[in-house]
Amino acid sequence: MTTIIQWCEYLGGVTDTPPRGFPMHITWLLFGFWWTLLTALIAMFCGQSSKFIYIDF
Amino acid sequence: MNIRNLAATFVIALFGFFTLNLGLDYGLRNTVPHVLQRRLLNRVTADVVAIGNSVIASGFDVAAFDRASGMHSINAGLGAAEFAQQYVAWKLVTNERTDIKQVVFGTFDYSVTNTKPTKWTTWHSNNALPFYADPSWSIRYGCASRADEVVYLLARRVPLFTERGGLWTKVETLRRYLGGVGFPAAQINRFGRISDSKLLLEQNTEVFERLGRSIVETRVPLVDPVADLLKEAQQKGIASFMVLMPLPADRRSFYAMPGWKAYVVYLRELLSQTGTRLIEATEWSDSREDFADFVHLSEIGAAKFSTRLSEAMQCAK
Repeated sequence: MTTIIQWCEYLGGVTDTPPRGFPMHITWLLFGFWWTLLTALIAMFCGQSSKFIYIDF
Repeated sequence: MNIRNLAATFVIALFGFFTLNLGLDYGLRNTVPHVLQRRLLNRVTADVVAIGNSVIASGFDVAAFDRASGMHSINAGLGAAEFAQQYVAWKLVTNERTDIKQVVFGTFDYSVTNTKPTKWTTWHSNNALPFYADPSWSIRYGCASRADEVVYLLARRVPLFTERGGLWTKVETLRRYLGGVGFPAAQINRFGRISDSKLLLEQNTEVFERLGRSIVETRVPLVDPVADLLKEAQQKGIASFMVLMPLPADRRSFYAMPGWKAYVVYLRELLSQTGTRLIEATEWSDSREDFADFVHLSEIGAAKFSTRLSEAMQCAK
């Protein structure tokens, strides 16, 4: 559990140093792309809060 | 992370956001409202335009109507469309042309006197149509204040917002596919799951009756986009017809109730203010094969309805 929290904190920008066992050092460039990916994922899945998704094939 | 790296990360993310928007704008260019908009802007000669939501999109058969009437028609129906969207479809057709002579507005039950407000922040999927058209056509229906209008004008330029319904549809399709693994396949038609169509209609006769009486007693007016559409048609000399669309025979008990009958009389009175003729087609279709689900006409039903509609419009003139 502690490892998961440390990984999440690193990915969320709470700490700058990768936790022990984390496979890579994320640079500012990669963080930029990571934020973009998060934006895309949020945009894709936030529709679940909508009551009825209408599908017109 | 130091400030310089944070700023650089922010710039990269901003670039990514911009690219994401470009990708969505391009990737979702063929969604239903985009295709409808292109079709409506295509200047094909037409005498009649049919406006409405999915009941018109599925129920108005252009070929059958044209054959029976000897005129040319356009089906501008858009599935799940709210009234502001139907008004935008009307504007797309009639804004820059003068050949339209008749408009058919299809609806069902108490929809055109529904007082539920609309808000532009809830417009997505098919209801995103106003974002692609002249904002002056829709801004007054979806915005509550001047500040709201400013945000609306900005948001309609961001594909991640305007096209979010297209994204959600893909995710929802995947979710339904995964949720259906191991179960018998749900029956679907062009508007989605057949069982969902039942949600569009009031199923309780007492509530239905009470609603009809309440609308008449409190003299609820037509929703603004419909009232505006009919007024504009009158000003342009376009003959307007409102059609109460056919619904399955098992709903006959609803339309035999005094509340509904009083509502029809009241609706006719409202429509007379703009010279609009009301065509009651609710009980025109008897056969099960005339319907694709609990609300929408099938191809066979649409052909029969459109032929009869043409005759009814001739008689109503």
